[in-house]
Amino acid sequence: MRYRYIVLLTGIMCWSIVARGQELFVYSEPASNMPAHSLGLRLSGWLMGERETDRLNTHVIPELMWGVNKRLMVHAEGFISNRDRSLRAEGTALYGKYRFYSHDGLYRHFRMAAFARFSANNADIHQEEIETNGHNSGYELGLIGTQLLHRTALSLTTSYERATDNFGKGNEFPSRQAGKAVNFSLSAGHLFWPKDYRHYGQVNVNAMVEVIGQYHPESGHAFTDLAPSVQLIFNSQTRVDIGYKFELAGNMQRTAPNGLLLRVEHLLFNAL
Amino acid sequence: MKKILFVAIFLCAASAAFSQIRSATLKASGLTCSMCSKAIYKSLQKVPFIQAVQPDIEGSTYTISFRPGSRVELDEVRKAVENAGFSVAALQVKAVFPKTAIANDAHVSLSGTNLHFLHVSPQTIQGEQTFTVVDKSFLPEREHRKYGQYTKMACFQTGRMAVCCSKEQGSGRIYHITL
Repeated sequence: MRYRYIVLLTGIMCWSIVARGQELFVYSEPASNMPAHSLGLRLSGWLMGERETDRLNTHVIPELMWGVNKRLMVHAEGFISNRDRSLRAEGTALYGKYRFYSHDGLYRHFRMAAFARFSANNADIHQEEIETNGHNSGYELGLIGTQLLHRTALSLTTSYERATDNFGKGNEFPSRQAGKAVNFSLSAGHLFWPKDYRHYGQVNVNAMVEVIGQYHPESGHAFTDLAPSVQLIFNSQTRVDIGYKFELAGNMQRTAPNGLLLRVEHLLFNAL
Repeated sequence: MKKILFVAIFLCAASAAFSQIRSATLKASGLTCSMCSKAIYKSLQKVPFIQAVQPDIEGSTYTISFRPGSRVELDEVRKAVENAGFSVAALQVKAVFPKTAIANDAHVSLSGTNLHFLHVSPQTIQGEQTFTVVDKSFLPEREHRKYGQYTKMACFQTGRMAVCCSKEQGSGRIYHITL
């Protein structure tokens, strides 16, 4: 099983090197930033099937994104889920990304960015997996490196994530659980359409594939997910993403690792 | 009446002088997708002295026309591209010159913009000319450094006129250009 997984991962990496792609990844952020003074509105809906029951976990994450300047962008995130049977607000987070390196060439670039997220969540802690983007209070600090080469885009993200007590009585972080995680993701994109750009009104169709993993040094538990997705861009300003994430391998206790992501995002240029 | 005529002639002459930098072709680097291209397009449109922008998405190129009578600040064009998240790969500017003698290291002031010619043979130019800006951040770094061999003046590194030339009019900013 592990051998098949290694072969699959190697295949994806080789394919991604020759593929033609875009860097607006679905499950991770690229090292590039939004345009300065722009505003982004994003709404993500996660529909994840619980492993132990037949319930569908729904997480809705609205985000307001601001391009502060050419190097810095910040997001304000809200977390809503149906853990308590009906949809309710569970928390919020602040995310910031700072692009500290950029080397541009014709139809290519290499960028590096540092990011941080600080989250507050009042849901019960029901799994080993640490996710400050919707499940855990805590913080995440990471680095992103993105290479664009014509229509090929490859990105590597690595981060350190720390879970703390969630807010509310009974929502303390379990003392016997590992509270620290190391994350990685490797992303690649493919631009299917249009073959030639003629105007901004043309619909762009991208396909992405991302490998996402988490490791807990304290327990030795880990998982690796695969997340293929399709992205449509309308009027070079509005984005619709449809992705499906599933666990490839792992020994970590997770409530609902497999499921669908639907996202819509709109960018307002020169808004602030 | 004579006074009105004099003022009218003066204003026409002044606006003509500020119309000397007419248009430009900008090539941007660091992007492929149309969303990125549109970010640059929108950013350029917000520059006050730019009248119109015509994008070529596939070629990553923008044809820019400047508002007649406006003072053109080439750094603002570059900043618009950088604020969108990308870089200038090339900026070719069309301008109308009065009869002007030029040579390597010649300094010329055009519509309040200081220009320092590099890698040009001694000649006299007049009328519409196209020049390429070879300053840092207007070209890829390797291309920009090649022009350093044509001058010993410090302004090539700093972008600002040195003491030798600071008596000339303008803000002190000087753009290094070639034909």
